[in-house]
Amino acid sequence: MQLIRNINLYHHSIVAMNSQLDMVFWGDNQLVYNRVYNYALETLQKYELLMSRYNKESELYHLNKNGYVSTVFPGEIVYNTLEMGIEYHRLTQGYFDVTLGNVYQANKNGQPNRVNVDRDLTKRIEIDTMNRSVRFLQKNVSIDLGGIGKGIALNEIGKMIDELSLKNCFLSFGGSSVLTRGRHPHGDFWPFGLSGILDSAYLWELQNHSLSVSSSKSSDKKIAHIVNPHTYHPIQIDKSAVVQCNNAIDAEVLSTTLIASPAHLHADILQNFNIEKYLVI
Amino acid sequence: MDKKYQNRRDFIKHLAMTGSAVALAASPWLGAFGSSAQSVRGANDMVRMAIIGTGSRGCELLRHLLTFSVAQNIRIVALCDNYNPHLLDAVKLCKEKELNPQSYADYRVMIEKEQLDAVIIATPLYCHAQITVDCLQTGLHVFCEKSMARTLEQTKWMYDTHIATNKILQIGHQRLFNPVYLEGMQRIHDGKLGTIGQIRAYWHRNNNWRRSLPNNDLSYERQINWRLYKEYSAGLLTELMSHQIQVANWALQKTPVSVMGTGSIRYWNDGREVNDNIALIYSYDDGTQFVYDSMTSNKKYGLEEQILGSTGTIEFEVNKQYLETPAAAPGIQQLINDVEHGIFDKLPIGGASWVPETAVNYKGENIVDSTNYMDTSLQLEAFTQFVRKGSAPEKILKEGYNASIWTMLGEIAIEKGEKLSMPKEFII
Ligand SMILES: NC(=O)c1ccc[n+]([C@@H]2O[C@H](COP(=O)([O-])OP(=O)(O)OC[C@H]3O[C@@H](n4cnc5c(N)ncnc54)[C@H](O)[C@@H]3O)[C@@H](O)[C@H]2O)c1
Repeated sequence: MQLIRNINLYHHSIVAMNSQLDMVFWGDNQLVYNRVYNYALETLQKYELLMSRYNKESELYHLNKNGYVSTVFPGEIVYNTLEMGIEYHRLTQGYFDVTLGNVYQANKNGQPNRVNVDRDLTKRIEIDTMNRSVRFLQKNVSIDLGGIGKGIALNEIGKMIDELSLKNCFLSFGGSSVLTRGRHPHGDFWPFGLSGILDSAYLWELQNHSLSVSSSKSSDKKIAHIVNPHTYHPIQIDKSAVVQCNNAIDAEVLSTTLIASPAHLHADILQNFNIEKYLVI
Repeated sequence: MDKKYQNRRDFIKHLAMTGSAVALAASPWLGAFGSSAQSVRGANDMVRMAIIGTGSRGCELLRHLLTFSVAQNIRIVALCDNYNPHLLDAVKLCKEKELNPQSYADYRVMIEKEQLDAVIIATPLYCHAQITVDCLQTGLHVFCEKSMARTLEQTKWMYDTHIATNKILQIGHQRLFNPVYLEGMQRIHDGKLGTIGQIRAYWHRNNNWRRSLPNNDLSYERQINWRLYKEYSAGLLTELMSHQIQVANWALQKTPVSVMGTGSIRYWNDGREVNDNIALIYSYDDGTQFVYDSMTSNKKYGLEEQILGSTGTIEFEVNKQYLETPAAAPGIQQLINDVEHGIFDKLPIGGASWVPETAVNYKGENIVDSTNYMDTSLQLEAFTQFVRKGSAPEKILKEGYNASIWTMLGEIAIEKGEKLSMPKEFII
């Protein structure tokens, strides 16, 4: 823990799930902050092991490897997350899709259309809610929970923060997913803004909130990394989406969805959610 | 990156630019680099040098010297080797620079005849002591390659002669002059790595360490392949580990209290006497362990010195430092700074070109920005400065001395199968 003079500001980082979680607390409750930190560390390590697509030990790796050849019974967390992912697919009119892991992977190599898999989700995967089992109906189906995992982890840590009645904190997971409680030490909220945009209209006043940012292009490689699940085409135009709400998973799913889907559908999709504020530019 | 020599001014400029000037000030032996320390001679008076032992290392040192000998006003007066082909190699290097130093087969004749200020000794280990002592007693300053000497007694003899003659004796542990090490050591000594629990070091190669003999004439075997015979060398211990125990002692600012070890000829069972596979543990009085191994039948891990502290790790050979807790992301750092200064401003996170899914794989930070220098040149340049000044910081010799003593004790520990500590008479 790094202690900042006067204010008792505490900062801690954890590198996990291919990203970095930064946590900032302030006040006089160091023992509680330590508990949150330890809980966050355990949570992230747990999710990393469950949801990695590349770690051969992970549950998701096992599911992706065996889902087509046999019926798989994932553990509770992976099953629930997958079910949640499929529900988000419905709520977003199919613009958020966790079953196209191979398409997203192929997109990184510039050839998303090379993956031969049905465009209709029901023809790709079968979930047995009674037995809580999963079966892939096609060979090229592969689950990718990358667009939802950070939100799940943040929600989980948020629950612990509330249980411990911790008042003020700012958590940023990879800079793209934020969860806040209370306020900045010198103001009434945590002010958040996109860097490079000065207009105060684009200022978010975060208190007990979650916020997520997505962009169509990554800054370094300029890779269009978000794919339209209906066409398998990457989104080539430059745009960013910011979503503020009370649920980190909703925020994360929606910021991706707003990039993947055409603007005329946004209002319709957002009707299904309880969000505070959003922006697509 | 192609490393090229940086001269002192560039080097200092570079240190100042990268903020590493701290290292310069805090390393006593580098004071002479930066300060215009009192010289017994003029700042640019000619320094007259000779090289004894012009085999592979001797020629390498000569090449370094020749890159700055004009700028530094160094004159290579003479060369000496008792094996003529090697002597001719060095003569050729000088000829290429239109220099014509005298050649000698016997160093005693050379130091008797030539007007010299200093000698550079790069002979096989077993004759470091005799040659060094003879040169010191003739009134010459000495740069002698590592490891210092073949036995405990010889090491002490060299040290005592240095004290008695008041002439410089510098041992060729070039890491002492390497900016990565200087900056890293500064951080370690400032507590930036927390409490050091272990230092792990290794040097792994995959070759037989043999050199070919002229016309395959076996009568040259012991002369050319002296490293493989106990009479002349302690093998991996003196040739490789001595550098790394020096680094460990330097990092901890201590010498060990005990050593135990084991060794074997595991792979190159070709008549050599020295081990090709060794493992040792050195312990320090505060409980720190230096865990060492070296082998010559696998090269995957190469060489490294890893300093393992409670808040961070340094890997010197690759210029890397890792914090146990990674630093705050840039936006968060801004937030922390704002709070500290009483500022309430928006958090500059994200942006139009935001990278939502960039994989973070913490790879540590570089210790210094540029490694565009040669530590061997830097150490020879320092030696030249010391010669001009008439003295060198004692700390440098003590590093070489303690590295040599503990390398020798490691050898004895392996041979006896015992845990050893330093006999009192060798404490300086
Ligand atoms: N600091 C380093 O990184 C480093 C690297 C390599 C070698 N070294 C050290 O340099 C020294 C020499 O190693 P090398 O690889 O050059 O060995 P080498 O066998 O190539 O060279 C040694 C030379 O000394 C000559 N020699 C032997 N006895 C002599 C005497 N009485 N008078 C004059 N010349 C004599 C030999 O003929 C030979 O040419 C060793 O102590 C070694 O540990 C240091």
